[in-house]
Amino acid sequence: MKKWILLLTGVLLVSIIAAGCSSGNNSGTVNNASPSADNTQNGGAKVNISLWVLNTGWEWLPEAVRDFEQTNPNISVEVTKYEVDPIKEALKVAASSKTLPDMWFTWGGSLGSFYAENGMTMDLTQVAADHKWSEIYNQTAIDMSTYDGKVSGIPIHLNVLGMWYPKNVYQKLNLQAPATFAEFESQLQTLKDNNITPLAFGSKGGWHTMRLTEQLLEHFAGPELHDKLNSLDASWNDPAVVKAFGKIKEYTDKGYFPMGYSSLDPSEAESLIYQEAAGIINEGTWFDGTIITNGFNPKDFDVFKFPNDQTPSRASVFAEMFQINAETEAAKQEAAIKFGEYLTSTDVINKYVEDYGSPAALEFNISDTTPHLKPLLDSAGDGGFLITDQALPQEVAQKLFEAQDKVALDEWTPQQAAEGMDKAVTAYKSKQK
Amino acid sequence: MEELRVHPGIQALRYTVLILLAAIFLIPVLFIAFTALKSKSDLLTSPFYALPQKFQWGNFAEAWNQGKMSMYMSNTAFICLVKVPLGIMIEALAAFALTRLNFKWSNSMFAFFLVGMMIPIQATLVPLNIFLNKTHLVNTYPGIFLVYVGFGIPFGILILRGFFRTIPKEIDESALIDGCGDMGKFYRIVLPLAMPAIATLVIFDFMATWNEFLLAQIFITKDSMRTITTGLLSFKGEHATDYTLMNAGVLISIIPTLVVYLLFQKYFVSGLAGSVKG
Repeated sequence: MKKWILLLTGVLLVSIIAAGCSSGNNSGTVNNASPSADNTQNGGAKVNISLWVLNTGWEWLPEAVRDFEQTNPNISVEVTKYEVDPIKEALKVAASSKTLPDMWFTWGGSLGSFYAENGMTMDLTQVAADHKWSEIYNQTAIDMSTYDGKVSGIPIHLNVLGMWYPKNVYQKLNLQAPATFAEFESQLQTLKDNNITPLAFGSKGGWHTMRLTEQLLEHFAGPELHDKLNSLDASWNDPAVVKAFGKIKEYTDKGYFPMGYSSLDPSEAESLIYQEAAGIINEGTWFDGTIITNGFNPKDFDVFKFPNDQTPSRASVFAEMFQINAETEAAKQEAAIKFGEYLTSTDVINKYVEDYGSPAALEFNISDTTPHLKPLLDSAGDGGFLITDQALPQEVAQKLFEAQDKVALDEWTPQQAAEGMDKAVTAYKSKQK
Repeated sequence: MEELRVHPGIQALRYTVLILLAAIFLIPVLFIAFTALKSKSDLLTSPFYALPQKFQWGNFAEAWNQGKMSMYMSNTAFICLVKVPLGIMIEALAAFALTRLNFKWSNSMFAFFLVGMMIPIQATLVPLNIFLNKTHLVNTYPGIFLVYVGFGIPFGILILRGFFRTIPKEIDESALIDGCGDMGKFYRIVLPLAMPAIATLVIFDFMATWNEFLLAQIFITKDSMRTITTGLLSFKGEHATDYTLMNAGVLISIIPTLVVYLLFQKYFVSGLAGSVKG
């Protein structure tokens, strides 16, 4: 027995030492925000930058990095890939422990603002002016990467949301994309009368219903008040908010959503669209790719802008960007800007356009496989409002999700939902003081 | 001795309840299997509880290759094979000291270890990240073993201390008369007698390590070192999730835990029963 234990202990020790040795080359490479610059290559100081980025959807990145490193032999890029939720978690942990990488991917709105407002991101305002970003990127994307007047990210993607529908369903019922809110509502009833679920919404997580709520707010409140609601400069206990929640209640009661939609996974609701058992789903510029991934043809679907009867008629949008570490050394910041501008350039977008997503750049070639990308981006031509879960502080956004669910489940009246939101905003603001 | 007879009605009721309970636990697994065996379009155009129109056995191979599961499973197996025995060895030594060495503050020290179970892992992420970065242990196996073993110690001591206390101290006295020192008592007497508890702990610890997600997603960021739980997330994109391959991957990933459970299950109940006594 003793020999057996000693043998096992020995094996374990050898394993640990071997593991330590084998992983020694990796140590500190990822979370180390400021790896020291390597020795010279071709006579110049080599700069090593670390980048955290999403994994899925960025399959084109390794090749783009190789190309960049070949043309910039003095810069090397170390990429760490995360999935969606892990990158949010890892960035927060790294920010709290001051171990952020040199540059990172993030979403706009309240997700990206955390790093800018806490002084962790480089102020790119002067860079944006010097490099004429307004001629390169969509202004909406630049605006959504700007906090307190400071540009704090290099825009990568600009996503625009719209109402997608299966062409077959609309053709069978002789429907066309609605031009007014009244027409939209009439189509919901027509779909329902023909045993088709009008709105394929799965609100587990809150996003699907939120995308409708924000359009109803834009419709009832108008752009000015809607913006003030999102910036917490107006009271949510407002008749326009009550009316918006009232519509959620009305649509629920009329059976416009799938049964039990409050707890339905968005992907389950999405399946109804493919089955042509539902009429409309609120998705964004990425949805062509989703349709293809799921084995269907994007040409069998079409999209219209939500008819909110407002002028300007704004679309729901959100941006994604690269932020650069404010604490990292100047040479690395310069290299990171160069790399970020390269990844968001027209040449790179055109090379990987099929997989790139919805670019923030103004000029790029449209792929045949994404037929709805251009119409959706054009639909934001009148302007856009930031998608609600990025516009609102996260705890207020969570309250909105709760309010939507409680209205749908008859636990709150629309008036109580508006009051609940107002209380959440007041509580949030008092904490900020 | 006359066998205790159970009324056939009660027996039938007992089996009915057991079958219902088994169904409650098995139905989700069944739906995972259905999803794993469907094509993407089949999944999206038929109810989730429907049988696949055509069984897509190729999903498993695709998940294995596309999801780089051989690499992720090897990494996880390596971590488990080192962490589980190492952790149990440390826990057993600590439990032995707490129950057999009769020192003054043994109960207070036991309570101190238990405090470790009350600290939420989330609250330790930032300090751990600072520590591992400063010691250059991020993305290293020693760093991972340190964190995993540390978090496993309180539960292991709780189980083993309970079991060790059920072993009569008279055996220790006999061993002492026969010339055994403290380490001799540990290796020759206590450890062999505690095999049921250790087997129970192997099952718990292996499952916890194999399924660990939170620490792995923060402290293992290098793809070549990722574990199976974080690797499976590669089927989930920003806007869409490949549920067929993800479910195929999930089914593949549970095989090792199933094997470990089947290997050690005969000790499971006695180990657990002993550990909670006294």
